[in-house]
Amino acid sequence: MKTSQIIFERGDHKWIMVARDPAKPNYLIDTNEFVIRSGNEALLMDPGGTEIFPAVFSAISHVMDPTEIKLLFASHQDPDIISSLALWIDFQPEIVCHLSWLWSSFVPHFGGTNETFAMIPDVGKKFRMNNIELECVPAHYLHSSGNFHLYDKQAKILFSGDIGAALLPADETNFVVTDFDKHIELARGFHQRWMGSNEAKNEWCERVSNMDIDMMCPQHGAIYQGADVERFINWFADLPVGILNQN
Amino acid sequence: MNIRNNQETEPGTRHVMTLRTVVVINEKMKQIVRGSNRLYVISLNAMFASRVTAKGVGGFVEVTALLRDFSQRLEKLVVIITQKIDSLITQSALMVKKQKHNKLLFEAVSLSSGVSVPNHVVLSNHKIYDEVDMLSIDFSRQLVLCEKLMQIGDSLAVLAKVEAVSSADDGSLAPITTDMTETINHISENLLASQAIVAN
Repeated sequence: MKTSQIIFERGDHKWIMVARDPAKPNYLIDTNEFVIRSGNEALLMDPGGTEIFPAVFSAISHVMDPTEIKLLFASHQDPDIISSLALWIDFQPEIVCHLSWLWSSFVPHFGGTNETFAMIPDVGKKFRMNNIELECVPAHYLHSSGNFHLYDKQAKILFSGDIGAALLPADETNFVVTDFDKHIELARGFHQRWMGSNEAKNEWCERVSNMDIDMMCPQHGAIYQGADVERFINWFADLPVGILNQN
Repeated sequence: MNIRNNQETEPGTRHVMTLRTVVVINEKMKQIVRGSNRLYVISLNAMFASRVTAKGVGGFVEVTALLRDFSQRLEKLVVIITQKIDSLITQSALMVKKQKHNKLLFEAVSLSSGVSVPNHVVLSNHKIYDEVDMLSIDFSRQLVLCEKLMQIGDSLAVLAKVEAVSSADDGSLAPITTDMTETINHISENLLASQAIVAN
């Protein structure tokens, strides 16, 4: 079963991480889900695939009332990101999903109607949830052609989707990166193969290096905290991507 | 044997608690857990307070010791109940997933001629509904046990109040006994509400 952990808390403003499921079959990629809560409203980022819906739902129920989840954010269109959409709609029919306009007619194949989606233009957008403002940060072609990250300026946390992702061993339990040099080797292959554009990568590095970030939370792997955030951005800026290693 | 459009196995035709209902009960359980923790702290405070307050509070000390034991028992039972509700949430979420898949499958079959819903689908439907049913029954039993335990808690709280009044209390025990009674009432209310939801 997945574990949920509060990673940020200031008054009624919280970030919850849902991660690490030892019972997950090994043919499914491990994913992290994040929830931002402000007052009695919450937003779930990259809710995950259909197969892990019971585990994610159960872990969230431990720390909060899941009926408070009124919003979803999908960084892109992949099945491990948003194929559970129809199940969340079954539970909460009024739920609204923020998603790149590019996928407006693709993701409804997983579920939802016109009313379900709040489209994000290519340049990004800001929206409010109770007392906090959230910013959809463009990350196109990293790896999806319509891709966004979500920045919470008040908490200084960036949800970075597949950027920063690392394929960790099954017995890894740390939620936060503790040894950057060791960890980054588990991220290298993923970034070189999945990220397709050096130009897009450089643009993203420049954009986020101007942001005030305490924690960078990827959808796979562990959280980069403090100095490791800058370390990661520098590492990524120097990394050639779009490499097909055929060996 | 393949079963075509079998009403009994079609998604949504058998009555089990919905995920939303289980979530509502889970929130009540969280209130009970908080109440049970609070009761333990109040009982401990009562024991400390009775040692520094007026003379002749021996009866009160005994009752608060019993209340502390009671709150520990309650906490143990609540842990078991919480585990049951955790399983119920997971199974209910799994059921939602199955219902969604099955709904699409049954719709497809209804649009096709000569195609039946495979047996394994029907059997797995039965299995998940049975599991949710069994968990619900087990959970209800635990709630009944909790209700019985709470009756003891009610009596102890009343007894604590009586002992506080009959002792030479300087007034410092009265707010504690009021707090005790309110906490126990709060737990009982959440328990009864949960039972009512399960019964419906």
